[in-house]
Amino acid sequence: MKNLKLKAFRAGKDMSQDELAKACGVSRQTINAIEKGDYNPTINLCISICRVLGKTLNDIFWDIDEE
Amino acid sequence: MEKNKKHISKRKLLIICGCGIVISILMIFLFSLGDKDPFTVTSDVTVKVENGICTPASSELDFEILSGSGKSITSFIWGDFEKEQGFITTAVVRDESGNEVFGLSGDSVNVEMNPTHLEEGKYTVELGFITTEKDYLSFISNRDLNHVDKFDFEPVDGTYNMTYTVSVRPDTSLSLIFLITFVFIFSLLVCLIICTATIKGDSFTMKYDERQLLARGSAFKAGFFTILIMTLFMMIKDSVEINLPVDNTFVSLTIAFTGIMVFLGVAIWEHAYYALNEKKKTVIIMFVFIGVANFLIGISNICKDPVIEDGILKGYKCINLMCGFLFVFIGIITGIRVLADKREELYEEDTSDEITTDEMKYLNGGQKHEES
Repeated sequence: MKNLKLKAFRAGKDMSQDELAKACGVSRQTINAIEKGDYNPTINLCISICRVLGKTLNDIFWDIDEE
Repeated sequence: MEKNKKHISKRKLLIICGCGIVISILMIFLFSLGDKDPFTVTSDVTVKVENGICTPASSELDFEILSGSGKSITSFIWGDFEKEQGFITTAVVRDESGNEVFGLSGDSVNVEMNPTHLEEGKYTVELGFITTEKDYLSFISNRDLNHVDKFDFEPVDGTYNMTYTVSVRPDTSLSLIFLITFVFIFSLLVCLIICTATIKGDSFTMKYDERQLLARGSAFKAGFFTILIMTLFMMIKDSVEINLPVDNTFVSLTIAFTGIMVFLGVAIWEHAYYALNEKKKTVIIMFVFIGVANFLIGISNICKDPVIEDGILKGYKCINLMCGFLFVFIGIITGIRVLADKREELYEEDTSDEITTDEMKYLNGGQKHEES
């Protein structure tokens, strides 16, 4: 399932995938894969992404629909 | 708690490697200087045997081990007619001062006899022709030779054209070991410099993110199972006795290279081959260069020496071509992947920065969640 929230928050911060990837210390393809839903990141990477985007784990990685 | 580790800087490492390379080149040069070409000295002697007496009774042969050759292995070769002709040849090697260095007799047939180490200098070989047991036993007892059990032949009258050869070849066993060691060190240091130069920043290790590590694991698994399946096929092929016009080396190399190529292909396609801190362009240029160089070397080798001998394709003659293909393969796959990425990026550029209604909903949902 696509992680549209990540994409939206990234776009909201006016960051490209590459910029976010560099800030998190991963490859651009990894961010792309997370956004596409092709890869489930570890909790460490999730925290790292959240820190860069200034959001909480719930904001980006919690599925509202399931709730 | 801060670790009190002292890290060597990249610049220092490059300087150390550079020094190591210079020393290795010097050592390789020095060890290769000592290598002199082997040579042979041949003497044709006509020996006449009449009533158990040889004429001439002896003959001489001179040779010189040039200075700078180091220790040389000297061996004597003579024909396989020894037993039939009715006399035994003895050889005594003397140095320039006339001192006997060693002696031996020709009781064996058609073999390279008693390789002996000789120092640099001039030598004379005295060839003696013996027909009596007494003379023979006297010769071997004086020289502590015991390689003949029995003097069991009778002299046969006749004229014999004999060819005696002294073969001298430098004893390169030790220098060869040093040479190979320094060539290995040299290659290792060059690889280390290349690896270090292709890594960005002050780090010495390749960094992969978690997705890349997983993808590399999958790629490695794919390569491993490819090798396993190919080996199984080769076992089946052998058991049903299907003869391919290739030798075992070629089969082994093909299996290994295919496994590596599968790993490379999957890893590159999954963006997991090149590390995060690797200078991708430099690496690709280097690989293409190595690939083309190997191709050229392989082709020139084929031109010099055909790869097919007796209808069998020889594997060891194809190593350069295979290496060339492997490196060019990396370049090709990377090129295809880059093109595919560019197409994908073009599509993403159109959509990624635009926030769709769905995304807005998520964004608002996220914000609401934050507020609550």
